[in-house]
Amino acid sequence: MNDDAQTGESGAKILAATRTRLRLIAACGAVLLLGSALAPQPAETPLPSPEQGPAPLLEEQVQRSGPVIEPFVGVHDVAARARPHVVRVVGSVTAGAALFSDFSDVDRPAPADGFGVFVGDGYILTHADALSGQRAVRLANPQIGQVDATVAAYEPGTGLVLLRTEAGGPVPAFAAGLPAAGSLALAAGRTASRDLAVPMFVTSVASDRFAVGALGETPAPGLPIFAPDGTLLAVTSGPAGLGDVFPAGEAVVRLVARAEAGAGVFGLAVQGLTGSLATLLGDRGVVVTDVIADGPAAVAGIEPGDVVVAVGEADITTARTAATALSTAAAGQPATFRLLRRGREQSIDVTPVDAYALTALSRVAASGPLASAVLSAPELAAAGIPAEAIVLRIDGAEVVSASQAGRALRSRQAAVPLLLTRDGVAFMVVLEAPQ
Amino acid sequence: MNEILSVGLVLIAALIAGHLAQLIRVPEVTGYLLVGVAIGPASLDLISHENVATLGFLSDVALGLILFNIGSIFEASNFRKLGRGVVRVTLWEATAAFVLVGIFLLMSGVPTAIALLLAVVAMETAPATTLMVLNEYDARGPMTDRLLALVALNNMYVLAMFGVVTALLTMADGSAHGWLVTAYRATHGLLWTTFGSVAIGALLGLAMDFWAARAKESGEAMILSIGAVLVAVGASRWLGLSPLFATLALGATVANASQHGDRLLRALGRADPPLYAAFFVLAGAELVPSAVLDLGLAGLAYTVARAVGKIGGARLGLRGQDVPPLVRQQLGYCLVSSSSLAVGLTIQIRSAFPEYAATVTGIVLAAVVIFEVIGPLLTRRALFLTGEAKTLPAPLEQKVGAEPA
Repeated sequence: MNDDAQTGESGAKILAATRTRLRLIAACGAVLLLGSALAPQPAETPLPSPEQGPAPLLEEQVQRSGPVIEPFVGVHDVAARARPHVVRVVGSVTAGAALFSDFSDVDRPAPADGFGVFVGDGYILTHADALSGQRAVRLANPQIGQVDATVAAYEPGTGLVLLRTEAGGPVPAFAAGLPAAGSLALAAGRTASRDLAVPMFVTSVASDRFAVGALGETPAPGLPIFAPDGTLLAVTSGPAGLGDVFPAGEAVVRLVARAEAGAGVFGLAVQGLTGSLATLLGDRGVVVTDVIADGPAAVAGIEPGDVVVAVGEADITTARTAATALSTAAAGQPATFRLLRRGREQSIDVTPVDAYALTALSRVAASGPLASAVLSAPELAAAGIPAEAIVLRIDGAEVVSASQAGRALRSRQAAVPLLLTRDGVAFMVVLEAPQ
Repeated sequence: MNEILSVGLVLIAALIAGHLAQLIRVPEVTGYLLVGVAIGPASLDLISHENVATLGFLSDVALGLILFNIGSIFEASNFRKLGRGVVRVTLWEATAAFVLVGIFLLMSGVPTAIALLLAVVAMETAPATTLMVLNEYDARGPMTDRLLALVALNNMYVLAMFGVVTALLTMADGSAHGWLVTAYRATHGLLWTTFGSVAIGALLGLAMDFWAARAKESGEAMILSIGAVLVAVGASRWLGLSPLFATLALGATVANASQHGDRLLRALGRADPPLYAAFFVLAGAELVPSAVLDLGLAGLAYTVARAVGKIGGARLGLRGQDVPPLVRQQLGYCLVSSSSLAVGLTIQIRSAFPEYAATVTGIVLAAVVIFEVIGPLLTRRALFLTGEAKTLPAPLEQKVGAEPA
């Protein structure tokens, strides 16, 4: 150390005099007393970790907590830091917001109840089961109070919903990638009267999702799940709030893209024409296996068994081209479907709606005879039909009973297409002509 | 690995690094940092994150002592000679870095709020690194005198600016509490942090000087010094104040109280080496060299603009001052080092503005790696070029043609 810089003159120091020292002590005491007395109430922000202050001692913060992650000091600490990011769905803005409920005897929609989490730019991530089919809901959060939010995007494969609201809130850091099986997590939030902190564990991990189990209270849908380091993993799904969940970071990117593209859906399922189906129905287009009742395709008059050969300007040749044409439609813009129905070509205009609108439609459980009741075991095996599948249509005609179906199949002279369903998925197979 | 073994490993690694650094003619602090990277989680993982966290106590002590040492530069008669000049240089170099970094980042497409926060972080100069290089080469001269005061004033300026910028961003963000409440909170926070910390440091400094008259032996003086520094750090943190301001104020008060202060500072010199070495090895262990690969356009803009701002701003600030031309040319290069406060500010940004955390953290951590490596090298070069280092290395002897001082 440079001694000259330290000692300066060898004479009296400016704080040497007793009077000066007393004045300095008085001034310092006054500053400390005044500063403490005039300190404002602390803001309701996420609790800082115990080692933080307004100006932490520099490198020690890095060395104590690592470059990015704050120290995990207990479940309560994670929950306390997580709660400001969580919103509670307190109800719908308007009753009966379902798209096609123009029947007088329609049931009142169940009240919206669940949670969500701020994910940035006025967006909130939640699950459809938290909204009970409502398009506009009211949210509550200690920081922003009560605000209204509307559905901006819905992802049918995951059930995740992106809500849009005018007020922004604190956004948590997103966890990178998937957690390891067996690792701990915490679902945190706050109801009107209680703080929630539900310990969870990751039971299994796949390439694009993971499953969670809860210790104790079953979390409501949409409740955010945090890793021990406070980063957001996912939101709970399903009415029971357990089961498969999807990484929040990637889901938000997909949902925002959907919201910005205004993607629409037609409410139908198709199957490619290959093998026996192509021989029977032709190798051009895809066959419709399911239409959601009161959905856009059903309303326009498309039926299971119709073969779609073009959508707008795009010719449909395979299931892949069909998927591309059907998934890039914009909600509200009609598309012309060219169909083959019993060999005759016709055109139908269908106006797609946003995916979330379909969640408000009730799905009637498929009914019909079991395949094992109308076909023999060798026939089932030859056609590749699961015994527990339900037969819906035979050669385009609806099946009303096992006896009717049996008669139709025994009297067939040629190969016939069968429309079946199993585990909620409809599919078509060809039953060859009897030998 | 248990903590005792970790400490031993850190010290042995520092010893080896110091010798290697002398062999290849780089500052010891560079050697300590690089060996820290080598044995830390980024490379061999002999020292894990948990070890570093547990050994954080050593860093607390070391950094407090460093700042206490720097605070002694504010001895009245000495500072009177430099006073207005160093304040002017501080304002120029820090503000130039702030403005240039802000402009470059905005031109790179970075959102305004992130650009502002990064611009404040860019103003910082690492006090520990600078002091270590000056000590290693026993530097003396007009540039050295100014450097220590510059570093102290720079850190105080940065903390004040950080408080102002975060308050403005919070108010602009539409806080639910209203702008008046937010403004009051921000103002009180800034004033309390500054003056409250100085008050704590000053009171402790007076108490320390009172006892120094009775601490006749050097051992007692060392105990008193280290104890007072730790009390300053702990008390300021407990009260939500700034340990940086408190320890600077402690050093300044001790230097201005009596001649005992000089004895206390000299006694501390004997405790410094192992603590400083451990401090820099642990700092190196927390560096993330791979972050440099993800620097990106914004990070590159930040790095270049900060360096240009520091070097050019210092030069502009020295205009009209009676300093040798080489000092005017080289002083800015000594301000390039960055680590401690930059990282500390980044952690605060992460808490206050989590939506900006990833971007800010990524850029700052990558830039810290660069500046921690090149900063000491530039400081060393400047000391030799201006002749303020005690010995010249062989290549520079041929260039400058001067006898060793």
